[in-house]
Amino acid sequence: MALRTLASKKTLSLALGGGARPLAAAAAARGVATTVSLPDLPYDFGALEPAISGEIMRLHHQKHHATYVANYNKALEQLDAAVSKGDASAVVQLQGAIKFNGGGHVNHSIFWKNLKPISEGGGEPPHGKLGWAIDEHFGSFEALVKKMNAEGAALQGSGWVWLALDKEAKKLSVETTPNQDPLVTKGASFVPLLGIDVWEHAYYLQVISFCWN
Amino acid sequence: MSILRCDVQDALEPYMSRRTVELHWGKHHQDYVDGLNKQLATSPLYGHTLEELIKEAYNNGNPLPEYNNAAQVWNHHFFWESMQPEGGGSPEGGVLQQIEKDFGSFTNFREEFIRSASQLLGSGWVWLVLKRTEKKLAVLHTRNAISPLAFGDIVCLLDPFLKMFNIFSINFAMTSHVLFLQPIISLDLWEHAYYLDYKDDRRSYVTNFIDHLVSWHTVTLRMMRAESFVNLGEPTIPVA
Repeated sequence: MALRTLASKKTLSLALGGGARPLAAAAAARGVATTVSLPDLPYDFGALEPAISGEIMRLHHQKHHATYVANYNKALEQLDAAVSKGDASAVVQLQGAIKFNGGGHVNHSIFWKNLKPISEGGGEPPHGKLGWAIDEHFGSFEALVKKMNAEGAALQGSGWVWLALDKEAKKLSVETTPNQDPLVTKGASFVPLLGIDVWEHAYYLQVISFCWN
Repeated sequence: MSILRCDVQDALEPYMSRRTVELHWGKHHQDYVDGLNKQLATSPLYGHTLEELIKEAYNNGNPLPEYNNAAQVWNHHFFWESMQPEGGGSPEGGVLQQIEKDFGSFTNFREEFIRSASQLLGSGWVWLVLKRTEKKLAVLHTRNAISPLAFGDIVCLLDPFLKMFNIFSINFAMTSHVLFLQPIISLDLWEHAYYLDYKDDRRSYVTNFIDHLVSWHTVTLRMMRAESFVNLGEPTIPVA
């Protein structure tokens, strides 16, 4: 009895005080995922030049990431409908779109935070605990860079290269995931420290100015 | 690799820019060729024809290192030849008849081709193929470097399982040959194929390909060849 009262109080406070839309709150109370939104970049589009052009950043954020967000939200709505109707095959069929678009949103949200303009410290080698951990697991920072470059170049098709922390084994490793699969698909104990988008859209417009190798 | 000399790289403008062709053919395709040659210098697979090499290297779904380069060399060559300047429009004669028979109308085929492209998530290819046993055209997409050529040998994989369960009465032809596919058109949907010209607007790239670039002349020749495989069976070529 007391438990039921608690539950309904929580639902009420979610709906009224949480700041969430009532629909989203009700959905959250039911256990269905709520929609996401495109995060703002913590810098201007042109702030990462000359390493990454403003044109690429603008397209990458406003078109590619925005599309993942829109399609993920759409898939969630469809999932909600399918779950309510008890349509198991529709639920299963939606998993591909959820993994792809949801993964795209998760991965790119990490990616924007991994980058910083040079004026704010972007590109500087890591110090402190992270620097020591890298030295311990890879020998040197240069060795890590070489390994990540090699894995990225060897990736066939589209995907991501990650510097991963294995929480349980307490070690760092370099991993790759295909398409928009998030790092957790490689192992539940993996935490992404750094992700590099090696989809061609991430760099292709600047390919003329890059050394191919 | 002589089909695209430097002086004709702008032949597919405005639907595919000179710059794209220059990079796509001169760098990406060339890299696959160079990569494969380097691998074959020390590989036991040296000596096969390219199509045999693709089937061997696909290794029933556990691809060997040579697979990616071999398949991409073949896929790209097939792709360049699937296009021509002032292509597109609609096919005529036997090809049109077969398309209308298998898709209902040319418009239906066109829409299905565009839809298949939009359903491909990530890098890959869209194909028009002729299914050998069903004697029907179909549209499908594959991921990364997967080629319909590789599927022909799925046949061998099923055999030990059937013997294991004493299943001899299954119509083996039905299960295996549905995967026996003759490629007719290919469209490269890796981002490098369209990003310079279309950025993220993949749909416009696919529509322009079907409306303005696809070479129905090449399609006709490929259909004739595919029909002979279907109607007369696979030729046994004696070892020279």
